[in-house]
Amino acid sequence: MSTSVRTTPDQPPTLSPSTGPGRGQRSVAAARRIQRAREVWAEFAANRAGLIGLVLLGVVILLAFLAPVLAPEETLNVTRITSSQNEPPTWANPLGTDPAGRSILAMLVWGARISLLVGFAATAVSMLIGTVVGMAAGHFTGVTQGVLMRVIDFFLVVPSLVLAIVLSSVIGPGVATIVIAIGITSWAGTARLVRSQTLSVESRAYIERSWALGASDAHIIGKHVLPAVMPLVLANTTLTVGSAIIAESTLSFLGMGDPGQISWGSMLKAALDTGAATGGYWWFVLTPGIAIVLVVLCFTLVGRAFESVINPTLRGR
Amino acid sequence: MESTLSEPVLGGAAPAPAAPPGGAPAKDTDEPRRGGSWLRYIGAKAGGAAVSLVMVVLLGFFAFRILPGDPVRSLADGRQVTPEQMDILRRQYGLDQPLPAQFWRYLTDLFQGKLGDSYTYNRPVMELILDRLGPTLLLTGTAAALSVVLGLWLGQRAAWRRGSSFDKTQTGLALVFWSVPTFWLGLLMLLVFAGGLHWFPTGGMVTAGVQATGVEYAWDVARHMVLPVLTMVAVGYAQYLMVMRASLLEEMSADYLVTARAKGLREDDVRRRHAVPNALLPTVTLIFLTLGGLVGGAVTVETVFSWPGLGYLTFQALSAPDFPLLQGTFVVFSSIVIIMNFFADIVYRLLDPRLRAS
Amino acid sequence: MPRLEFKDLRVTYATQGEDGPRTLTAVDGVNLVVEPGSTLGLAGESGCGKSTLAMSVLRLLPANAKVEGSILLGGENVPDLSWGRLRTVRWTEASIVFQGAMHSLNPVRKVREQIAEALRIHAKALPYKDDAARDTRVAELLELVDLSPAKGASYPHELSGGQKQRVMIAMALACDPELIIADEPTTALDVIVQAQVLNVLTALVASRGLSLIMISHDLSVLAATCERIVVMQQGKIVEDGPSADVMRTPQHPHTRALAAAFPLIGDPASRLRLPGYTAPDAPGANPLEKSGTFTAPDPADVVLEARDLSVTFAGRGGDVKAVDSVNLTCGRGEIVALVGQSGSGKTTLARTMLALQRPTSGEVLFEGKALSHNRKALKDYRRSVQFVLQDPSAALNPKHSVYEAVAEGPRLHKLPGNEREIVTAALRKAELNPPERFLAAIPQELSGGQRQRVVIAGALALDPEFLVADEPVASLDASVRAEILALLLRLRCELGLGALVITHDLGLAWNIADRVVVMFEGRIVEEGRVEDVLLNPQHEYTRKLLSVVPTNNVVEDDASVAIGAGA
Repeated sequence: MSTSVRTTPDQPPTLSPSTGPGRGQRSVAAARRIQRAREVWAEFAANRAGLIGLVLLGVVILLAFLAPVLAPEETLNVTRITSSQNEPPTWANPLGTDPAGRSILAMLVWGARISLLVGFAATAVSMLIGTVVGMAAGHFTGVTQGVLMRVIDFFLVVPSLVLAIVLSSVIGPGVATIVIAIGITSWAGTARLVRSQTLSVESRAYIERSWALGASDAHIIGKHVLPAVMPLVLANTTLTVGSAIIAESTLSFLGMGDPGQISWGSMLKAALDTGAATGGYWWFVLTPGIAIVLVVLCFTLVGRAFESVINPTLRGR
Repeated sequence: MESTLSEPVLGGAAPAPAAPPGGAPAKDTDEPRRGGSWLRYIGAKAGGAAVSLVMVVLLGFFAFRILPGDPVRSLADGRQVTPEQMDILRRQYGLDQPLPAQFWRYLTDLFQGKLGDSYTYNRPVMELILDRLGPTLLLTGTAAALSVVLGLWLGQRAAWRRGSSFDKTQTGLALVFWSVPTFWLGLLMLLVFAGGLHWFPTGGMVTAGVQATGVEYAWDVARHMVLPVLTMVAVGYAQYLMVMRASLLEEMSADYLVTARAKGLREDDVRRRHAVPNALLPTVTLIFLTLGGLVGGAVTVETVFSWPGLGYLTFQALSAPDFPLLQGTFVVFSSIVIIMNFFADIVYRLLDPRLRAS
Repeated sequence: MPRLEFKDLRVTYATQGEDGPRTLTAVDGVNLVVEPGSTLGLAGESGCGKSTLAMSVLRLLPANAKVEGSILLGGENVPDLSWGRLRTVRWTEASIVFQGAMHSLNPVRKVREQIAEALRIHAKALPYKDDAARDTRVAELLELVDLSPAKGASYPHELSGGQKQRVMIAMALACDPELIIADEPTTALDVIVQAQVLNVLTALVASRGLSLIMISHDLSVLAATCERIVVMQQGKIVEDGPSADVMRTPQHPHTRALAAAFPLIGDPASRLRLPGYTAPDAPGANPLEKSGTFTAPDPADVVLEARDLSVTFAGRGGDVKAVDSVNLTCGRGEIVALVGQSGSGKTTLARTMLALQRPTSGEVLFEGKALSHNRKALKDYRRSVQFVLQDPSAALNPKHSVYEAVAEGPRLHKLPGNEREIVTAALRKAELNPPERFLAAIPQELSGGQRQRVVIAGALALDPEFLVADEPVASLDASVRAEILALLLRLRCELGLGALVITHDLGLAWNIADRVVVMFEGRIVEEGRVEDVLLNPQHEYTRKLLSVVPTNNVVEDDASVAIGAGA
């Protein structure tokens, strides 16, 4: 069999530095991944709002992590309180005290732990279920798809807060309950997104080429669909953490959290229960809420920045 | 090959029949496919809604029976209850019956419009719900209408003036409001306007102890409505703004706008007559899809402002816990949203001629 | 009657590159005159600047475009016009026929409203003052383009591609302009529908004495409709002359490459012969050049066969028989061209033969044995018969490197041997030399032709017996078409690798195929050796197809004859 020695007549393309004859295929893929990661970071950093959000989030997470150091647990022990109740901000208690006399600043830092933990955990549950179901609903056809679609539609339609209330009333109050409740009520949104992305990926010609090459379902999903869907899932995850934190605060506020744990939502529940709002104790009402708004806003900005990285048409919006 | 590829991927015109239907001239040999019928569409959507309703009914029943946790124990939690008293409670609410029997009773009751009796109020759940339905519809309906109008108008304007300070401020504000928990905003409102400035009452739908009628009554309700509605609108308008803005921005790069400009249309008219109506279509779907979220907002806002609606009732049911009441409110709330979504599908098909072909 | 003149026109776009803002030059110093009443064809590949040139006439370029030089429409310099004057000029003096099949019509408005809108905007200058007069005018316009006035009440998605294009033409004529610019009016349309649309357009232009500028990447379409052709490359004009001359005897190398993409059917100089490769059994080939490894294709040695194959889809208006009792054989080493228009069922047939689609009845046989529906057995089959898709940009996963794309097949089948060697050997066979240079590249770094070679390499890596290629060059630039066809021809001659090539292009069949099969509405209407069928067609449909091929209809000496009139 004779092969021609002509080189391709096209104009030379802009190729990245070619690999030498000894390098294996794995390092080719790895080099490409590193380069892509660098590009993604550069693009992300160009979005100022996202960058600020990321930095602030880092600070908040650090503070939450250092909670035992910054505000040792004894200061929150109600039996050992030295300050008086419902004090407005002073130098001793920069954010004032709650009806039990505890420093609100300390409570805020500790509350961050629960709020962030629940936010991340619930998002993880939601994302996992949503991605798996979404990919399945997009890939398979026939009865499987019909059933999955009905299930997704159902969870989309049912008012999530009401469903969360039902779930938590049956399981009983607690942190785990909130995580499960948020996870179960929010996975459908992700599933719908993942499904439409799966459908769009699977309509591309390279999927047909894979089938023609002899691929199996697992190969198509694992090698083509999942990598294409992941960036979208990651961007969506960031946004979901934000809404999970809001959901956690809402559920805690309505009394479904663990009464023994401090979270931003439970602080606001106490504010309502003890009449802080009508009584004019603004520091108790204001601070946990501002903390929530700030953190959720940061997640939203980071999520949007990430979205504009993976979808260039969204840049500059 | 089970998956994929069982649907035809026929592009382009289907081969034409020898004699084209209607009065088309014989030269026209490429006719596209005819569309589906109105009836089939409604049928399909109604079927979907029915399935969802059935699932709601099933979930409403089984959630309280299957999930870990004994309802009676939760009920007794924190109170001094002897085992004999728990048995009495069990028998009273039929919880000692075998599961199929309970389910049958549940279904038959449902068809008669009965949702059981509330533990805490000792009244039929249906009665309680019907009492509170009106105030919730009033509050949620007003808030929804205002959110939509405000969000769409601002979103459209922001997209027109993309990149301007108006756009940047509006987008920024919307993002901030999007991140605000509804109940907290309500608390703030109470703090500032009711507690602090005393401009508005601190809760309830009417002033306690006053029996007003007619215009005076309406005015009283309106005064009580201002803060809760404001709270819901502030958080709700943001997502409509963002969606409308994104939708219009995407529409503005469409090819048919170039055609419109080439015809000599003024830029303002290009946007107003072509871009905006088309951008509204996906927004309309989203509005209906977010109805579920609006309902959630009703629960927290009514709780904060002690507004005597379905949401506050749900909260009270949760605090007790009052299972028949919870079950009832869950079924009613979900059904309302499902039915609204069904109407949304109908409306959307009316609006978008492209859907009439599918 | 205004004269259009471009003087030293330069159009640049300000864009954001990877390293910061860049300026892209789309049109680079163009001087061109279009005399009143003449027809001009503007040819070139994508990115050459022809669309920019056309859109600049009515100032429809995006905001980041900068225009230098002058565009004189009847003496007025378009870039200097006030907005008011520009809006008046738009559509009443010059109008544009956009690609109707795409999204140039508002999807939620009836087409007659969109035509009437043009009349309403210019109500002052036109004699149609009220709605009734405008409605009459719209009906008139629709009849001019052979559409019944009842069609006006349709929405764009209810019309076929050809009908939408005719609506665009009707709309362009609404305000009686003097100059019409048609921007790729027949891309995405079938040859037969294309002929219909072009005939309508040229008849109207001729009867009203309008000037016409037609833009296309398809040189043969321009040659069939315009008197004069101007070829652009990278923003500059490289050739300018009467259509017949440009088409038959192109001077500039770029024009030559474009013209080579449209061979004249019946011309022995393009039979089994392409710029860059001549098959050993081409007519007039030097017998001494025959290399020892060439074996003539053998139609009797049947490799792939379809027996009484039918594929029926459940459609909304009833069942659609996409493939209707088709019998087809492909011999070892021969290239069979399956020719038909869109909707004829050829793609469905190809996919059924690749076992990507289940037939409703009948069977597909490989080397005499019927294909089973068992996944495992099919996997073995897939090693032997491989697929080359239409659009190479879509056929490759944009995130996978060339290495991964080509290695995908061997990995799935766990082929023995060093994977890297298999991949480089396949790349070499597909003429990507040196292969090492391409291993790490991703599709967006490659040109269209190179991507298609990667797809072919991926197929070759499995060492197949036969290829099925679905419109392998339809999505590629004209100048690249010849290379890929040459590659397929070379594979046939040097490796004995036969192919079933699906195409709408009869010229392609003339170029490289041994046998041709013509399909219409799911049935095979004619088949046989290429020389027999294309030079002496028996079936009426084949004759019709041949009559509307643009290269058979080149405009000579001002004679404006309708396309297909010589059928």
